[in-house]
Amino acid sequence: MNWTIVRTTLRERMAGRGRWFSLVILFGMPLLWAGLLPAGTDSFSSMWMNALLIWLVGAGVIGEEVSSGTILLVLSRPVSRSEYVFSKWIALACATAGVLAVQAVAIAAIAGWRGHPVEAVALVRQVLEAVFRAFGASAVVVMFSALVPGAKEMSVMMFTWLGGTLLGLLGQWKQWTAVTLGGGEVTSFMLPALDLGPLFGGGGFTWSGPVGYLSTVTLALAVAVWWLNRKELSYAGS
Amino acid sequence: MRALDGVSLEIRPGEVFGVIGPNGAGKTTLMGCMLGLLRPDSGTVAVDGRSPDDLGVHAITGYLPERLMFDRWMSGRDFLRYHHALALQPDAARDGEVAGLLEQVGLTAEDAAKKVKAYSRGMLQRLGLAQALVARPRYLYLDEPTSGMDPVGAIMARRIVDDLARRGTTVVINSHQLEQVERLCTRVAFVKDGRVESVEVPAAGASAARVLLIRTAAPVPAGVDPGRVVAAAGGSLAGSTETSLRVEVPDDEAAAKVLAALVGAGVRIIEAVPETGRLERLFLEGPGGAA
Repeated sequence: MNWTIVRTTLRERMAGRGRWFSLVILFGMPLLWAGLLPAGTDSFSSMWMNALLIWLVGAGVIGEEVSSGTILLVLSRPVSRSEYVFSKWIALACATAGVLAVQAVAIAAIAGWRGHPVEAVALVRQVLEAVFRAFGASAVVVMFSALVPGAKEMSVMMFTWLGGTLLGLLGQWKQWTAVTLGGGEVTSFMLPALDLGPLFGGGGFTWSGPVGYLSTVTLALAVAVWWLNRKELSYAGS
Repeated sequence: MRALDGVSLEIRPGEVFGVIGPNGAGKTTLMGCMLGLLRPDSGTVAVDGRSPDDLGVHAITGYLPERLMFDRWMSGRDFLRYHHALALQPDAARDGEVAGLLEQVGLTAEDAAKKVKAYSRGMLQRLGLAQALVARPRYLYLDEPTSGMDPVGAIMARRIVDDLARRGTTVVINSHQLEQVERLCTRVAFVKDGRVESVEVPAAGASAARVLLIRTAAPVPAGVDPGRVVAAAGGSLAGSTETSLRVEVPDDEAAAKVLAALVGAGVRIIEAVPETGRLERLFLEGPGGAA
């Protein structure tokens, strides 16, 4: 881990006004819905709203450095390519985990203010799940950002997610189990999540959840490192 | 497509080594291989016996790319601080060393506080040079180091390279500014079509053959055959105009004899200087065409 890259990435992510604007919108909308929707209903701080926030904050986290060429100066320093990828991931994950955790607490506070207090245990679960979501989706963003120069990975991710969703719907409609499962795999890859229900007394624990989550994160980071390790990196941005 | 083919080079410690050649010759690819940013399909590159990928080598390497690719949202000072930290230099020395580097490349405190995106091309080049020096490199790779710099900047860059060379830093310069390469480099590789066509010694020692340009105050006196006079003194006349002679001499002694013979024959010499532009001819005519 290279903390200089982590700190600089956090500063760089916060340097653009456009990104701040998107962040405020995506942070604020679930709060607005929590305040406006009928009390007790599940607010729209859904996984996909969180995903959008993470994708927007992370857009171009590596790809912009590849297309501008700044990555070459960083890699001419004593920084390995895997260290670079992990540092980018940690920076993005920490930033978005913080935002999502604050958002979860704020939504709980609004619910409490509207007369539907969230139990402390449930709140802890929501915050932890948001943190895991941030770390998982950040790994996927890092992978796509390494694969696609510039900040175009956002559209690639959107299309991939949309493709997975449509595939799942098609499978359900035609009752093609394999297609349904394939669509589900694609969409769950795009936003790795960990259901902490079993830990909080919500059913039996199985290893499939943590294993699936960790394998997705590992695969995404491994692909990013592998792709940045290719020999023709210098020409990637030209 | 083969960017480099059959390249074999040895750069000596403490040497200032130039790489010249036409666009697309493979110079930047060669530098990328030396830096470990590119990996050749076959063959090896070793820096002090280690792979250029080795992080220990990166720690003592400085690199100024041709394409100035800086984090434009940072201030110049922050950019140098960032690279100082990436180069694993001590935190306690950061402010002092960054200030020293800024001064060395002629950037003021006011310049350093500006965002990089507000920098002119010349200022970017100075900042890039400062960035390349942050780790007190033992190996310094400079790709077009003075491109976009004003004459003062170019002189400053030359002084920095001279100073580094005196302190034992090995410097590799890739440049199209042949006069600069000729002045700075101890040896120069001429790269064309991915191959090293020749390795030249631009500033050859006193005993080496060279061309003298001799200017005269008046035409050569009637009845004097300058070709014969020069040949008798051990040189050869390579060309002449009404008030100038271009003479090839094998060494210093012959140069002195040729000049004395011409003066003795009544030629009114006002200036005799070694001809520069050898690399320029090499560039234009290829290795066989250069004197």
